[in-house]
Amino acid sequence: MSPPPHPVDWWAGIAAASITELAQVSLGLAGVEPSPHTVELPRQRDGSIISLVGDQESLEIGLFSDTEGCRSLASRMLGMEPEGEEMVVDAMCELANVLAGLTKRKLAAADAKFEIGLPLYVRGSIAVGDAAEAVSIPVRLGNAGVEVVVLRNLNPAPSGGSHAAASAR
Amino acid sequence: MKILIVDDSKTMRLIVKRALRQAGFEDHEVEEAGNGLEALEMLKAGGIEVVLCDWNMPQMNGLALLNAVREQGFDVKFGFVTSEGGPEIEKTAADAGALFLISKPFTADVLQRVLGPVLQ
Repeated sequence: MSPPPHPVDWWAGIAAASITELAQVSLGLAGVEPSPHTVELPRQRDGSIISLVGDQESLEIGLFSDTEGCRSLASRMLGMEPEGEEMVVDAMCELANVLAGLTKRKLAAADAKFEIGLPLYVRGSIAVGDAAEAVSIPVRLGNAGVEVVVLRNLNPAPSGGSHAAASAR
Repeated sequence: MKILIVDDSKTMRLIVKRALRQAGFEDHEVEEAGNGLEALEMLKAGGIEVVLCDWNMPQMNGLALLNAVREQGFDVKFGFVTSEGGPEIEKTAADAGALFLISKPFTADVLQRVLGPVLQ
């Protein structure tokens, strides 16, 4: 018999711990304190999203800010001003990738196995359909106001599902 | 030594290059490839002694590249720098012939400790 799915708040706790570690090592920001709570998702945002697909559960993790916030995060990660929008996009995708890796390792410690997808950069609003529930984790990373968004698919695909729960508009 | 960094993210290639300098490996020559197929072509051209490779990449991922490297008999030291991690992945990498696996995010200190013996 399969174990029951984890509640979205459990996922939020994992993601919050991951973003704290990401901030410290990748962005040089110590003492970051995300506070998971359910909020309405941002209407207009730039950011990156990546899927974590398991046998029983799947989710997507997104890292969203505004255009200047994404540029600030990219600058902090690179240690230099990004050369053009393409590099901002690349850096944001890499941040999502590292965030997914940290989350996956924390899940593995809880005996949950997931595969990481490839990150996507999205601009605009995030629509969450009936097949998902979402938690937003606001956090300030340097000059950037950031929302880490966790979308838990309520009807995960058996395998290879990616970005099934949300669509960027 | 000539080091090849293989990662589909230009950002991460820059970060690895910077970390190599910070770790004291600035005397080594560094080249870059954006995926496994590109890396394979560069290996065929010769001269590369160490490969630092991402795991998840489009076209040809890191594990497929490592398998191709071994099948085609390239004499290079190969390791992963990846967002992946944990005992299962590390075993898969080691079984395929990787010398090390560095999980992102990493510090220059980690790079120095892991790569020091490899780059001697």
